[in-house]
Amino acid sequence: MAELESVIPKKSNLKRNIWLLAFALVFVWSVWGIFVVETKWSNVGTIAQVLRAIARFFPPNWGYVLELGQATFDTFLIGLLGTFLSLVLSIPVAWFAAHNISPFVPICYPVGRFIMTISRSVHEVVWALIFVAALGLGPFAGILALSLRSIGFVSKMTAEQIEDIDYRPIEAIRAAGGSRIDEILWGIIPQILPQFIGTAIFQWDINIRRATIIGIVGGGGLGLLFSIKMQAYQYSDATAVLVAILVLVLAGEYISTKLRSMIS
Amino acid sequence: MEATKPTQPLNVVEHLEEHKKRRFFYFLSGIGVLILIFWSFYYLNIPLARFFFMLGPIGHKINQLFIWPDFGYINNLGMLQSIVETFQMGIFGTFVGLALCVPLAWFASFNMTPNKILLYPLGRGVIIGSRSIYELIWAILFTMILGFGPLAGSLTCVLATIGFSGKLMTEAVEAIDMGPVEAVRASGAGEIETFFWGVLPQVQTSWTGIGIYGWDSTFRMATIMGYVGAGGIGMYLRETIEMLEYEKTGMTLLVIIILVIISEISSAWARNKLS
Amino acid sequence: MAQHNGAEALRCENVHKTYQGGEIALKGVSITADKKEFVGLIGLSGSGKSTLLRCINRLVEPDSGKIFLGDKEITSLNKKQLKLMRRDIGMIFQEFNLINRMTVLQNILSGRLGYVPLWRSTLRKFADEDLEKAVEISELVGMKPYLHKRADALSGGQRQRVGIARALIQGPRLLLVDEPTSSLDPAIGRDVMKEVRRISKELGVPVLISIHDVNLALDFADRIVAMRDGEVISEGEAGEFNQKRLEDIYQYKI
Repeated sequence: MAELESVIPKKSNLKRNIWLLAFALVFVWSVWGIFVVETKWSNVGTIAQVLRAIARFFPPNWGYVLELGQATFDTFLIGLLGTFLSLVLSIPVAWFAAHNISPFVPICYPVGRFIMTISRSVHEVVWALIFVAALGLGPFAGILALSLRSIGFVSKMTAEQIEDIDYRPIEAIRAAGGSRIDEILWGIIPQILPQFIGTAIFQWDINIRRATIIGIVGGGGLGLLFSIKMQAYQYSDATAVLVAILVLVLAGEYISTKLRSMIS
Repeated sequence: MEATKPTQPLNVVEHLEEHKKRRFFYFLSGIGVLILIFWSFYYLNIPLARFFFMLGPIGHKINQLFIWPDFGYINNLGMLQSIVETFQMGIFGTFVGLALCVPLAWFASFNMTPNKILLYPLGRGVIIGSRSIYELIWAILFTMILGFGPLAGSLTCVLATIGFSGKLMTEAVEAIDMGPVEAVRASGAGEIETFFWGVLPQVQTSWTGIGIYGWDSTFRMATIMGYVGAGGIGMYLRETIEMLEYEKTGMTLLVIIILVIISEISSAWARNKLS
Repeated sequence: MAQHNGAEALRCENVHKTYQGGEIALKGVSITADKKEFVGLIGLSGSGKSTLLRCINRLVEPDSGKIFLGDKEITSLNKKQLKLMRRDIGMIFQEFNLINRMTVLQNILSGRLGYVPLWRSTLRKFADEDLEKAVEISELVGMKPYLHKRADALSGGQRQRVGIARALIQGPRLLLVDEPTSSLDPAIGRDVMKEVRRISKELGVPVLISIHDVNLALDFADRIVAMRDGEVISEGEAGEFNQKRLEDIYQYKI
């Protein structure tokens, strides 16, 4: 037995067990907080009541397919335009935040990184709230919210790709007397373009999903329709919206997977 | 590298025409994309002029939101409680979601699924369903069914975690080396033993990483869940916006951003610690 | 060096270079190249050949020393003048340094970047005469049939020919060639050397070529400059380099 212990040291297990215990305690605390302290079970009702509440959503009402199709198309366009705008806005951010081409590293680099962090840390709904407040209800607020939310991811990926480029073509351009702008236009852009397009397609897929929610806070499209139907207690209409969202999102995912495999 | 076949011999003029033809094609596609974009703006009834007027109000709004947040607003018991509640929702959602992801990712991986007819579509369906319907919509549905409060929010967080981590964990299983799996099977193990001895050791590291990312995304979700009444600090967003108390909205946003950054720092620390 | 008076195209005087890490690459190198001369730089890797080449067009900034092209001092040029000067110095690289996702024609045209205004390089729209010249030069290096192929679809030897064409379209007064054969099969490398020599003689452009393959250097160069540890240790006509002298240079039995 002593021999075995010398081969398999026991020390690390103690530390691990303390961590596991801590996680377990935190989890129990959360469960207790949610289910015991915060939830009034009398409000939730019996299982039968819950089931009845669920049953109200069925069957879906397909009586307003035209309106639904219109909203689906709106959502699709909001996702597309939001992505497009984010691509445009990401270019300067990526330029600032890529260490190797940043115009003035001590200032531009932190500025670029800061924009990335803010863009990613603020939830799309919060972005939408800001733009709805500034612009009023409608798809434009949604487009701007999506694009601001997407800058972080797109510019981060692009900056990383720029930092990973092959310097040899750039050396050749420099040797031929090309300017710094020539180096970017001829040396960097052709190298990162395919990856950039891949990032854009990936982001578009995510933005379709996000576009469905932006409407709930006033950004138009399917989300708006959903919240209208819910507020009017037309639950079976709302189910139809959900199905439309599902179809749109799955179609977007399918197309984006196909497109990305076409590129690579 | 294999040499490419030469194209048919062309004279100088033909070469130049070929070159110009290609440039013209790119030019046309560029114009096409631009037309499409402007048409979309037109179709969605977006008054572009308003964009420039927006800069005024948005500056004003940001001024209200960020320059002078009502710092005193955090000093009320409800706000502090809701912060605690947000953490509880995030933790519950992450733990339960990840625990459910373990079997779901196993079921939904095409190479390791124990049952192709029943469990495979079940795993896929749950993961795709939680992914495709946006979390906030689930939150609205849950509040309709279960009433307002953190119960709806924490269930949403569970689904959010499944949606985010489930797909990644499935992909990790699908990428494993089948050699050890065959070795375990050859020793007469059943499906469950194969999973524990052949699959789990291989995906342990990547699953842990995915789990930590899952916490990030789930917690961010938990901070806004309250906007639809599903518990947590997001409630104050809606409340203060509806009351037009933008200073308080600003403070709430500030708190949310700080919470998210804290959670991101802690998960970055955990990732570092593990690697 | 007086004997080269008037006829020399390139003159380096006492060039020093120490890299940031403290590695001393050049310890006072002086060399010259005549008009139409084909000069081979030989020596082990790490002897400073590539650094010397890059100091001449200041891709690597020399610490001290003077470099003249004709009667212009390259080392005293400011940034703008340097760009203009670089147009006159064509460079051919060991790993071709092509823009992989562009066509052969576009790669050749990228040699004109020092000449064209910004709007042209942005829109990739070159003047007809540049295009005609590109097609002409592609014929000279035997790449005309591949003009609209992408660079990454070519074989190594073909890529190096595009690299040569790109340097030639600059209309250079000097060609710097950095190990052109070491990424290629021996037979193809020999073809490329033949090509570079033929073109340089045809166009009357002097060539400074770094090459670690001694046999290739002896076969193609007019004059040999041997380097070791950042210094020139031996130089002379290619015919003067016998077995004994080479063994001294490489400190190794060949």
